[in-house]
Amino acid sequence: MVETDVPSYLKKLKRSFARKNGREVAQALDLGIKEGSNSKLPMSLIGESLKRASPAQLGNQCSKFLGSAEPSPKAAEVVAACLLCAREYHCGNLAEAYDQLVAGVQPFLDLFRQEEETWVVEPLHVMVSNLRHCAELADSAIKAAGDERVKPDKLENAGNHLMSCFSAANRPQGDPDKRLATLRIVNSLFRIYFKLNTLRNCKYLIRVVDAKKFVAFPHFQAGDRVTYKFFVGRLAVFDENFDEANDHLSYAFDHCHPSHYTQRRLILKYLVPVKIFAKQSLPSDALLQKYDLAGWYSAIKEAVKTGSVGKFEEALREKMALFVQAGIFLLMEKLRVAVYRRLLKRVKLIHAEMRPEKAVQVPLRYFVGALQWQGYVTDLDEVECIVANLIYNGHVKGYISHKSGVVVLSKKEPFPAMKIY
Amino acid sequence: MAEVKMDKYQEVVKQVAIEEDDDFEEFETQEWNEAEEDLADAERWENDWDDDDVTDDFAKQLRTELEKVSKEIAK
Repeated sequence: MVETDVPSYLKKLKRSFARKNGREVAQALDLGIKEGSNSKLPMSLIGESLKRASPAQLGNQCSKFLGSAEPSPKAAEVVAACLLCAREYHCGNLAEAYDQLVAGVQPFLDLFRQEEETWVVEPLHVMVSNLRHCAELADSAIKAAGDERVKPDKLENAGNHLMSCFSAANRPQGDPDKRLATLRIVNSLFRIYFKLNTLRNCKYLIRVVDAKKFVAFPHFQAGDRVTYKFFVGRLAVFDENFDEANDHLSYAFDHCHPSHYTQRRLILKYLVPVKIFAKQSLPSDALLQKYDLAGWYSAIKEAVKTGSVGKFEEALREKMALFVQAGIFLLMEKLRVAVYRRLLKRVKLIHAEMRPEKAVQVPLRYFVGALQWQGYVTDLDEVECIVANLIYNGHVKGYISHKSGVVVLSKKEPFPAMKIY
Repeated sequence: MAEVKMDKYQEVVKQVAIEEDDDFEEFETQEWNEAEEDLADAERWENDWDDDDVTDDFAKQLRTELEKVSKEIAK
């Protein structure tokens, strides 16, 4: 039977609550406003009826059907908040919809705490998801309305409510498995902080998750773990902790099921530059092809591999918009030094074949010639400076003889394994 | 060393980046068999590219250029 009127919806929901069927309760409370949501959700089906009802009517109906219901009278308050929110949402009042929804958070958390069993976990996830998606819509609507007196601060507000949800889930009464709800809430908070660009807020959550007394990480569901590692990996990229970023993003990539192609692709987008920095590993062509990232990284890879300064600059110019958008432009820019090092190394190798007796004394004019061939307008003074920098930063071992215009390279390991950062 | 004009970008890059980032899609299902793999790690990454081989096209052209320099120096 399909419920399109509010009383039938409430009757069914009352049964779901009484049976402690978490999945049914969660479905019934799902506002269905996240992208790609199922339009057959109970709350969507009663949309038209909600629009016709007055707020007072809805409140009364909730009390009537759920007021004395098992397991808790709190259920009526939670459902009333969700219905009033949905009503505003269907009427197109998005900021008001969010405000209505917030009224349901505290009663829901009371219910969550009272209940000993884990059936409350799924409804909690729906509450969290409703809050975040509704807040995002509300903020967009506020921005679109353009009234400067009204601040788009709903998402920030949702972050505070999600922190309450996190605390409730982290210190549960009853079944300790209720704590397994925590990681997905953390991920939702990460999404909010990334969107608001308040990344410093993530640190506290990471400390909690890393703490010994927290739930052991492997106990969480795979999807939650992968999402968490993706965000923590990206934070490490921002902090330029490439070894850490490599660990987190590799974990995310390795544990993300192959059928989740879009997520794997996004993880890989960040893992590729990280691998170059942390492990000096370049992506295989097969990998770039498979994840449709050849357009992003093929030219850069080729440039790093061959030492083609010209190709590198061209790729950086061409892909600037992409790299800036992904937040990795400054990172990619740092690879320039690797390309110079590689070119100098190859100049040295060829020079050694041409003049074996002077193998380690490479005239700087060779490097000038190589760079000019690559389209880089330069002279001896600048090249001396470039090589001096490479030596100073430990990418090349040797010294410059200014008088004779050569770089004298160390006989042992003149080009140590590349450490770019 | 920088050829790309950085002055304007450097300041704004980080902010722009986070704001306009593509979202990490939420998973429809949270549980799956993690044993399933598509590409072996060895097929994914190249670790021995920083070698002494100078026989590829780029290196051949580089050699031609360096021979020109060599002749210049000898003059």
